Formats: sequence, C-alpha cells, structure tokens
Amino acid sequence: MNTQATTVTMTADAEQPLLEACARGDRRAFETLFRNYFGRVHRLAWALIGDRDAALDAAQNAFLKLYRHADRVDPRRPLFPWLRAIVIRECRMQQRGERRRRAREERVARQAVPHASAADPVAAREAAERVARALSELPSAERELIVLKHLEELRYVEIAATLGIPAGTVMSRLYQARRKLREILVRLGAEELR
Amino acid sequence: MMLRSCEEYRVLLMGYLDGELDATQRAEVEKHIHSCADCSAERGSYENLNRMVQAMNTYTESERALDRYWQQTWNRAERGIGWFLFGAGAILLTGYGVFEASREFWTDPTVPLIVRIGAGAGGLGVLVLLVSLVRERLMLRKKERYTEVER
Ligand SMILES: [Zn+2]
Repeated sequence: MNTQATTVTMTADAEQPLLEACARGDRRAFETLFRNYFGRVHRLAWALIGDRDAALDAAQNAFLKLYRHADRVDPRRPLFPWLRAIVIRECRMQQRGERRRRAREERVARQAVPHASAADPVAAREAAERVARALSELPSAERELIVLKHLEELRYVEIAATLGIPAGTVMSRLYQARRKLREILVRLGAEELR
Repeated sequence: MMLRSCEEYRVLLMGYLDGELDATQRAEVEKHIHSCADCSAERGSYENLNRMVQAMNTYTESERALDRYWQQTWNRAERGIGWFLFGAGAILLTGYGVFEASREFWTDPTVPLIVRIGAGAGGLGVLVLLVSLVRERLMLRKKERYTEVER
C-alpha cells in the first residue's frame, strides 16, 4: 500500500534497458530513471535529515552515483532498493559534523514544508511539518527505523537487511523509537497522542 | 500460556499494528488489550501516531520542482565529466611541456651523464607517482562498495 499519488513503480523489465543505457552514459535513460524515482528518494532523504536543502543535496548525490556507477548496478534486480541504500548512506554522511548539524537544526526550525497535495493542503502540510520536525529530534538510528517502516513501508526483515541489524530486534527497536517520537510530538502539541 | 508484563505487550503491540505477528501472538495481544485499559489506550495512541507519520507520504514533487532538480543534477553530472577530462588533459599537456622545455638539457653534452641519469630517474618517479595516484582514484571509485549494497 503506497499512498503517494504519482509514484509509478517501474517493473524490473522496464528498468533493465534503461540501466544498461545509463551505464553507456545515455542522458535520456538517466533522465527517465531520475523522473521516476527522484521524488521518492528526495522524500526519503528529507525524512532522514529533516532539512530540505541537505536532503536535496543527498538525493542528487545518490543520482549522480547512479549515473557514474550504473554499470555496477545489477540490471536484473529492482533499482529502488539500491537507491534507497545509497541515499541512506548519503544522509548519514551529511549528518556528520556537529556544526553542520546545528546549522541545519536552525534552518529546519524556520522552514515550511513544501509541495502539499492532499485534500486539505494546509492541515496536511502542518501535520507533515510537525512530524518532520519531531523526526529530526530523534537519534538517527531511530529515525531510520521510523522512516523505513512508515515512508518506505518495509517489512521487519527488509528493515533489518537494509540497516544491517538482527531481524529479531526490529520490533523492540521500533517500540523505543515510536515511544520517543510520541513524546516529542506531544511536546510539539499533538494532543491526540496523549 | 506464558504471562507477560504490560511492557512486553507494548513491544508486541508494534508487531500487532505492523501486521508482523503470527496468529497465536495476535490472539494473545488481543486478549490482553481487551482486559487491560492502559494497553488498550496505548493501542489507540500508537495507531494515531502511525497515521500521523504516514501523513508525510502524501507529499510529492510538483512537475516544476522536478524539472528544476533534474536540470541541477544533470549540470552536476556534466561538470563531473568536465573535471575528469580537464584533469586528464592537464596531466598530458604538463608532461609534454616539461619534456619539451628540458629537451636541450637532455642533448647538452656538457651535462655529466650522472646528472642526466639522476634527473631522468626523478622525472620518471614523478610520472609513476602521478599515474599511480590517478589509478588509485579510478579504482577507489569502482570499489566504493556500490555493488555490495543490500537490497
Ligand atoms: Zn497491559
């Protein structure tokens, strides 16, 4: 169940020739893959970093790596999990460095949330903005768990494989992460969670 | 049946809400929720939390934003290629320039043989180091573990 409106999930069959063309440096093929997946990658990075500028940078870096290393990506397997792993790594790198982190937190506090497209755009924007802000206060390991569960809608075994943690620990880690996230959201005024 | 604490049930509640429990565990959690007001309230609270987080999913890029991001990304990709070619060209031209500029030195009979051998070995060394550096960069790029990515 994916609630995003415009994600067209490409089949591996459709991806394969595009990836092969991309490995030969074909701009059109790269652009097609970009337009198909950038929104999802950017949103993932945004949830992981909490800052739109840094997320844009991380998402673009992931696609530059795709363009440079397309010959190393197995074209018979779905592309998105590869992109997801790369963008998670990019986000971790972005978050290194205390000074950058603090500057980012200040920006996050000022930012509005872009691109509302729900039935009630204002309410949806405010809700997502609050969640993004709350997520940015979580330790990054817990933020990754929440994002993979709720944005990426992965099963526990897939989360474990993506993050390299034992599958048996996902449920208890998610419990800790959600408990903290709830505390933060309550502090930010989410009455319905009390 | 094993008796669990409320805290343990709350961990299981995650699996329950995420659809990750087997039938036996699910029945156990349901039974506890029916008899425990606190855990029942927790269930409602986490359902709300999950819905709230899911709200982030309704965001999509506008076409215009996507166009702009594509342009930026493509420009960066092109720039990467540009820098690579520029670097390769610079090394070639510098090497050629150094060789041409010192042509006289190599053919000058008054320069002792030992000095020419020394200079030749030194120049060769610099060249080997440069090539090794470039090769390391390329190898590093290839080995950046993008193939080992879990998926
Ligand atoms: Zn209980």
